[in-house]
Amino acid sequence: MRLLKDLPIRRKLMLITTVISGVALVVACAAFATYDYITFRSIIVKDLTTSADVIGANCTAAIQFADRESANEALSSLHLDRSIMSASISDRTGAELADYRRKGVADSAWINKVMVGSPQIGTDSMVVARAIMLDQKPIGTIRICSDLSRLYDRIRTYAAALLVVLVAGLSASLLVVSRLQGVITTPILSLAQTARDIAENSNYSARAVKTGTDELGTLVDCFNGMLEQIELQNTQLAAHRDHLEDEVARRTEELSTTNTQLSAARDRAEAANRAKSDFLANMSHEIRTPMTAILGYADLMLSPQQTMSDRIDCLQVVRRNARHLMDLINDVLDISKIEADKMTVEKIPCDIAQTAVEVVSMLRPRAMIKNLTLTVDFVGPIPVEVRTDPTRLKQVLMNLTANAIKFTDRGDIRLKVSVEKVDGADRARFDITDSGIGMTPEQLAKLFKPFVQADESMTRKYGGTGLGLVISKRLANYMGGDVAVQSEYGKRSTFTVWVDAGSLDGATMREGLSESVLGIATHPADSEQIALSGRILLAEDGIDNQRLLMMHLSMAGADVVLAENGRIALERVQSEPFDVVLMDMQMPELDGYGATSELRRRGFTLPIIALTAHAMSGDRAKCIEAGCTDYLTKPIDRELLLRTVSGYLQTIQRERLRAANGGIDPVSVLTPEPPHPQRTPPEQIAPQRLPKPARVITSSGGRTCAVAMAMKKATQGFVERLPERVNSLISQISQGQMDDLRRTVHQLKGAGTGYGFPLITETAAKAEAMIKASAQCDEIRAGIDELVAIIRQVEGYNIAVEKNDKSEVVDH
Amino acid sequence: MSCTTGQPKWLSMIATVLLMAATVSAAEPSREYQVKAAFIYNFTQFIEWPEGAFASADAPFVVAVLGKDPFNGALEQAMEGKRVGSRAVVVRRYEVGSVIGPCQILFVPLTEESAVINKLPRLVGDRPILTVGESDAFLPLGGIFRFYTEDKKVRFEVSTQPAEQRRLKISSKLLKLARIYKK
Repeated sequence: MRLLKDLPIRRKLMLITTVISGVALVVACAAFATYDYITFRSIIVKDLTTSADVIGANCTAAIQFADRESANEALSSLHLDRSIMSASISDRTGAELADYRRKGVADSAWINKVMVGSPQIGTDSMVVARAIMLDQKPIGTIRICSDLSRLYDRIRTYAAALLVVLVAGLSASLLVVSRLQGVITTPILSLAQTARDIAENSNYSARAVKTGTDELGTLVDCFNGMLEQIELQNTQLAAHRDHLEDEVARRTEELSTTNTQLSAARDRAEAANRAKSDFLANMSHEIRTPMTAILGYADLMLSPQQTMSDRIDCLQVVRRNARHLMDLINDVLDISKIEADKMTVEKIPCDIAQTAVEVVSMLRPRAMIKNLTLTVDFVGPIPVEVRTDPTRLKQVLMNLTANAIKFTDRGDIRLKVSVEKVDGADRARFDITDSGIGMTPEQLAKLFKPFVQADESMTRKYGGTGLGLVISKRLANYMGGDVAVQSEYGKRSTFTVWVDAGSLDGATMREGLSESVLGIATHPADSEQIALSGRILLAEDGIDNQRLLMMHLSMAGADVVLAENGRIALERVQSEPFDVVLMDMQMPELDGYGATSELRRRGFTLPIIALTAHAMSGDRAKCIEAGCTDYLTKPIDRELLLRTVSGYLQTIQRERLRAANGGIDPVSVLTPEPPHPQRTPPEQIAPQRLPKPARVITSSGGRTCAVAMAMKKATQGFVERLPERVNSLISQISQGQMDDLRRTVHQLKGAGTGYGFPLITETAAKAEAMIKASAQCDEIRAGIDELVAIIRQVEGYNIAVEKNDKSEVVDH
Repeated sequence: MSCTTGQPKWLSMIATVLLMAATVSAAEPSREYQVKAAFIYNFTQFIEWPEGAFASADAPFVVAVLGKDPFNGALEQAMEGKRVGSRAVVVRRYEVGSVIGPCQILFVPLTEESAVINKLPRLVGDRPILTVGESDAFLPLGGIFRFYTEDKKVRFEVSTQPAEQRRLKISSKLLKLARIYKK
């Protein structure tokens, strides 16, 4: 079977066909032969039987008459058939009557033992025994023995014929199969050849040829289908492989780019982190420095040995440091807003010339202290107004100019204002040039980065947060401009700011401007010389602020009524007439927003000025929305407070006058009470230099109870501050701080009469004259000692010393 | 002892019994006549008698012996229980000189031949009777069968012409065994 399996299909087919046809032929031949053998044998039997019967019938008489001769004669006819070997006739008793033997047949007696019936067939002979009948009665038996040579002859012939047929049949079938096997094997071989070619050449585009629609045709179809799939997959694989390479290359590139970016970002982050850490350290230092001064000088002032002049000097230090601290906090707030991208800038009309002049005016004292000249120049025509954010612009200019002052030791600082058109856009340009230390390129590179100053030693020397420039640059960016710097190390720096000016087409321009032309006060207004006239309701819950504001306002001449919260403020407004309301926004029970809204709801039309510690952007809008007329931020700047309040009072009183002269007075409608009988005459309203602050005291008798109380409080406050001044005087004289001492003495001189202590003023004036004249130390010391002695005699001074000691605990 | 024709049946029966008893007691029938008796019966098997040979449908087949019976009982012995066709076979003896009674085979013994030979054709006439004799003259005188002895064997000679006259059909098989008499 193994062998058969390994045979080629062609051979298998031939073998199978040959075996099948051979078996079929052999079986058929055997069947024919068997049939013929049986048939032929029965024919022989029949022939013999017939012969026996014929002979028997002919012998009946011979048997009956026991006529042997006749019987033998009958038998002798058998010799015509060569196959008959022997025969015999016996009578009824079995006795042999006649017999016949072919020549050469020896013994034939044995056949007489064969009984009548079916023929007895041996290997080489056959005996037929037949009864001989007469009148249906058996009268004897005839037996004929025939050899089987005829049969065997026939079989032999048959076998030969069959052999021939077999050989011929097999040959024919082989011939046919060898011709027809191609029908099956050719497609298979072709398929196999195709498969082998494909396997050897990996040529998957080859296709097997289909020869029919039988199973092989289906196989070829399947094979081709498989090839198509393989080819398709190969194509896809190749495409994918190519794509994969590209992808890998691209990814690798991306990765390396990302890595570079990441490491750059990491470096930046680390640098930023370091910068922030440095900044925090700086901030700590920056905050602690002024705090140390503030707390230290506050302590000094509290010491009883201090003269008034010493205390004034201490206060100056405290105030300076507090302002610095304030600036610092503002800067930090600004930078955090900028960092969080929460900064908003306005676009409102702004007189940039005015702004520049203001900045210069405000910074000139600082410049003068360092013996620097600060000037403002206007180059070319300057528009009357430019749309930008005046507050922020001012902040930027202040920053840069103050910086210039800070880093310049001698020479001058110039602020140049101009407008220019770049790329079709109008912009306002400010150049601040100093004659300072200049910067190295390295320093320039780091200049506008947050938290970085030129270097740390610089910080120690010049102070500052290192945020000013960053904030300035970013603010300029917000205003559609930028800040640039040019510097020559050791010689000068020029900071240039420009901001978007909007369109200046058709704008009103001014030529030949100068600081003096603009008529701005070249020095800060002396707030102590602003006089107020009017009734002011102060809604404020904080005791310190109450006291401070009461004092500022009362000292300027206003009648001040206090309300501790919004509800009381509402009641007061309801029952008394006021000209202006100062409204703290954070109060218990009813806050400033609620109170303002309620007042407006009730028809109150007079100015309400909001006071808030919330310096964040949007707070102003919130206050205005609530109904406030104006907005002041804490810590309250005395000068700004007095200016603002004075401005509103003047406006109101001008309107009242106009109404009284013929128009309807809106205030009289809202406030049913008649105008205050003590109202100041209009000509006295404008800010003016008052010859003597003593006016407050002299007129105190006619004041309202509230003002009297305020004055009493103010005087009390003055007295309470006297120990500090004494401390200042003592410390300044002992440390030889003559400038500070002179300032302290000067302040005492100014304040003394104002609070009803003319002796203090007198003594202080003498001391000041001595200091001015650069008298001997001993003389000055004697003068100061006298001043201190007088102060210590003031009523309530000792109480104040004790109280200060206590409040130190309470307030801090 | 002899049986005459026309005697009552019972007499003949008795006579036969007596004869047989006498034969048995007297002597054995000779071998020759035993064979002849058997031959006579065998003849009935190869010869056909015409329809008119029997008086009735159930009439017996009669084998008659004319004159003196030489069979000494062998004939009766041979015919006992035999039938020809459906008919029973009986043996009768007829006297010389009288009218020969109905029979189908008439045996004429040698001893009686000389007495009846000349009268026989007249006696038998053309009745379908098979005549069987023993002498050489029987056939020339018109007899049909004649026994003769050759090599100590009983043989028979047939004259076909009288047989055809009497409408007796003799089988060729019988004729093959017989010597055919020619005039």
